Order: sequence, then C-alpha cells, then structure tokens
Amino acid sequence: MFLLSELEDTVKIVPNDFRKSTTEAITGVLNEKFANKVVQEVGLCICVRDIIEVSEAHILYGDGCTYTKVKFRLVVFKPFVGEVLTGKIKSCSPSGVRVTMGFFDDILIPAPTLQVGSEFDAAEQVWVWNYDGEKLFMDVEEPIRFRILHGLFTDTTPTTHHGAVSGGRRQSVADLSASNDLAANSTKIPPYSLTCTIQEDGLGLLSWWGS
Amino acid sequence: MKITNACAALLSNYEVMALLDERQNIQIELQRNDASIEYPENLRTIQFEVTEYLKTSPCSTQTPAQLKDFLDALKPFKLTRAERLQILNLRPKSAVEIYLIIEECEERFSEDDLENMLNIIITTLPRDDDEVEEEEAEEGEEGEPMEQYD
Repeated sequence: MFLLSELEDTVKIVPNDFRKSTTEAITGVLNEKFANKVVQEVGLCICVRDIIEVSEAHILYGDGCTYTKVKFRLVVFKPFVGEVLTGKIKSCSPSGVRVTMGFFDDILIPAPTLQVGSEFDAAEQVWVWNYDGEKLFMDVEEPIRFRILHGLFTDTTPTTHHGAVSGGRRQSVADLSASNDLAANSTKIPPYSLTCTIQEDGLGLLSWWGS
Repeated sequence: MKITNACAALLSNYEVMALLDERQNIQIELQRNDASIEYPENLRTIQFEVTEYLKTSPCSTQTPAQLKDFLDALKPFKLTRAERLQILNLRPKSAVEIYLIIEECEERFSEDDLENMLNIIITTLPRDDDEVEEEEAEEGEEGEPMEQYD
C-alpha cells in the first residue's frame, strides 16, 4: 500500500535555518510541505525517505533565503487496484459503508459492492448481512477486510470560474474563486478517495472468517 | 514541482514502519538536546497515525532476517511481486485469505502448495497469536463464517 515516489522541487531555506545541516534543513522544509498532503496522481504523502540530489543553492536579489533544486524520494500511500487492505468501519449510511485506516478515511464501500444479501437496518443505522438465515451486523469500529476497486484523484485547488459572466455587476476573480471554494468545501470533495468492494469470500468483517 | 517517477518502488509495511520509528527516534533525540525545536503538525499527525495503524498489523513483529527467509522460501512458488508483498503485509492464516491474494489460485496451485505456503508463513514470520489460532480453528471450519453458538 506504500510506495516510493521520486520528485523534484525548489526548496527555500530561511536564514534562521542556516545553522542546520543542509540535509536536515531541506528535509524539514520538504516534510512540512508534503506530510499528510495529497499530491495529485501520486497519492497521500507520508514523509521524505531520502534526498537524491541537491543542486547549488542560489540567493535571489533582495531576499536572504537560499533556493535549491532538490531531487528526493517520498513515502506515499497509494494502494494499487485489486489490493486487499484492512481497516475499521467508521460509519454506515444507505449509500454504503465508510471505512477508516486511522491516517486515511476517504474509503467507501458502496452498497452494490457489499456482500450479496446485505440490507440497511434503518433503526440501528447499520448494514446487516443476511447469510444462511443469520444476521451479521456490520458495527462501527469492527475490523474489516476490503479490496480496492479504484482510487480517484480530484483536483481541489482553487480555480477561476470559466463560464460566461451574465450582465450586471461583473464579479471580480477573487469573488468567483471564493464562491467556488465555498462550494467545494461545503460538499467536502476529498482530493483522494478509494472505492472498494467486499463481495468475495474472505472479505468483510474479520470475525466472519474466523480471524 | 516535478514528478520524475510516481512509482519508483513498492514498500512493504515493515519498511515504512522501520523508517518512521527511526525518524521519530531522531526527532526525539534532537528535541531532547534543544527544546525549542518544533515539528510541523501535519508531519507529527501523519507519523503518529501511520505508526498506530502499522502497530496493529503483522509487520509489527517482523525483522529483516524474517523477511529474507520468507522471500527465499517462497521463491519456488513463482508468485508475482504484488502477491508476495500482500502476503507479507497481510500474513494470511487460512486458505480463504490466500485465495483473496493470489490470482487464479486454483489453476496455479494445488491444495498441498497452499498448505506449504501457509506453513512457510507460520515458520518464517512467527507471531504469538498463532497458538490462539490453532485452538479457534478447531471450532469453525475454514472458508466459512464462524457459526454462532446459541
């Protein structure tokens, strides 16, 4: 579920950090920039693994900081399609089951991919698998094993509105991007989300399969 | 920012856990010498959460020697890299779990092969809960959900 990604970026080191060793200062800046952030098409970055190459540092006119081009490797969380993972059930809703792994919880098992014979119990707000006449409840906090169907990256960086502006007061670019941000935040589109299935023998709650 | 290689290498859970432990120890050491050092919240959060998750996974008791023995023992079976990595991370204890990981399992391997694979896993990657598993295995059949006793 974890992989190494090679990236290249320009790192700015403030004069306050000149007392640190180069590696330490650069790693610190990169970790602050990337830790717990999603890089589109790469995955959820965990931390810097090592630094491969560091170019000569430049100081720009009027600025005391040094700028260095750095090639480095990051530990990234990005499960491949078909991978089997374990997590805990976070919540159930009529659309499916949300699973969390602690550090990542945009994991959804949509209703059609639950075990055949599952139904949503509205009174208890949990999904129930009817197997062989038995009711197996999918309670919150239960450990669950699931398989990745696909991962979706959504670019949630602020963008300007591309549509034609209607007559009347012309909105400034700042207003448009602000309203777009609000819209995106209110629906809370995650930058990286996983869709999974448990419709196979061995998948689902660990307690169902004797683990 | 440029992405030179989005997937340079696959990492096992053990490698990530070892890296995070090493990093966190260095951070604690540095903070002990200089109390004013502060690490960014996003770094601390992700390190903590990933370590907590990995502690509950089978990689928490693995060592480099075990990994080497495990990979050597599995060589004759000609599994793909993804399959070996998943077996290492998930440490399957029953045939059902192995079927999930290996593609076209029935066509590629016989029941004896799977038995051997499970034994290799138990011997090269031992864990304390293996003994508990043997007692529980007597109660429920493999490959079916546990029956509830009235």
